[in-house]
Amino acid sequence: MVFNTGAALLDAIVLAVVSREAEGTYGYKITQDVRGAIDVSESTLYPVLRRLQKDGCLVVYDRQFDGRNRRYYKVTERGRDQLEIYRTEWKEYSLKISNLFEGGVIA
Amino acid sequence: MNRIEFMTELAALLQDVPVEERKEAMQYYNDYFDDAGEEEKDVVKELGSPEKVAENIKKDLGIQTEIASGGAQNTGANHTGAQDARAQNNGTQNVGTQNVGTQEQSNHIWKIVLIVLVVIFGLPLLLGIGGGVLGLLAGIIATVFSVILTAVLVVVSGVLAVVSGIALLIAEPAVGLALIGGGLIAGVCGVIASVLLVKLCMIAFPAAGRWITKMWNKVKNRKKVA
Repeated sequence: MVFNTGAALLDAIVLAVVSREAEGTYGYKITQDVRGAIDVSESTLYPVLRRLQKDGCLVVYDRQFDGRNRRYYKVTERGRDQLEIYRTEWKEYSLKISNLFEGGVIA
Repeated sequence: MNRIEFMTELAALLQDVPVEERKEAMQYYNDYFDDAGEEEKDVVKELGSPEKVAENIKKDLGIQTEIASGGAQNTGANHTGAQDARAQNNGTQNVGTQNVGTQEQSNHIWKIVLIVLVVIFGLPLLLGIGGGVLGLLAGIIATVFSVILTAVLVVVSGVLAVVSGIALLIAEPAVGLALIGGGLIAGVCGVIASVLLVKLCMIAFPAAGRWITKMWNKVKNRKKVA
């Protein structure tokens, strides 16, 4: 991809991915899901998860899976609010950019 | 590189982050290996080098403020992460000024210590220098006086030679005449030297005295100004 993904957009994408699972989701799956949308290295994703956790947008809990503890991430109320802000911002932003791009063709 | 090598290296690289952060990161990547279930080597390749992983973790912990405020610029306001980061930034700034305060305090302490040291070690030094200057002056005066004395003695010896030359004139005229001639020359030289030296002293000593008082006044004035 030619466009860079800024820190805020990355936060928003991770929040959106995690919020899709009501029960929460785990690191490997988050990585795969995020990679479905943007090309990002694993080493940049962990710090994002950790930061969102510290900011209170995500909570972690351990659940038994396959005879071991797996760490799950779940969106908090605050995380949901934050995601809503990102959604609104993104809608405005992408609409403006799209209008600019396609409006140029029409005019 | 296999899983164990990757995890060992990552743990080693994260030695300087807080224990809690290290534990979290280790657990995360351990889980990742468990869940990936592919060939370990492929997973390691996917993860990148442990150095890169550790670097990103540290960057987010240490230089977190810079990244977060960059994010705020991207999105505008409403970014709680950035706000937190800004608060943290203020925190570090406060710590910074506190540090400056203690530095100033320690500067004061150092000044006091320096003054005490100067008083303890400087006073004897000053006395020593004073003694040295006095000794030097005494030495100069003594030298001058001895030179004058020598000149006077030359005069005296010249006179004595003339007297003994007259006494010897009848018994041994040649020696007597030589003695009288030599004595007269020595006497005249001595007189000239004495007169010149005394004159020189009369000029030099007051001049030196004036110069010393001038220097002393200069030092005193400088102290007043300071």
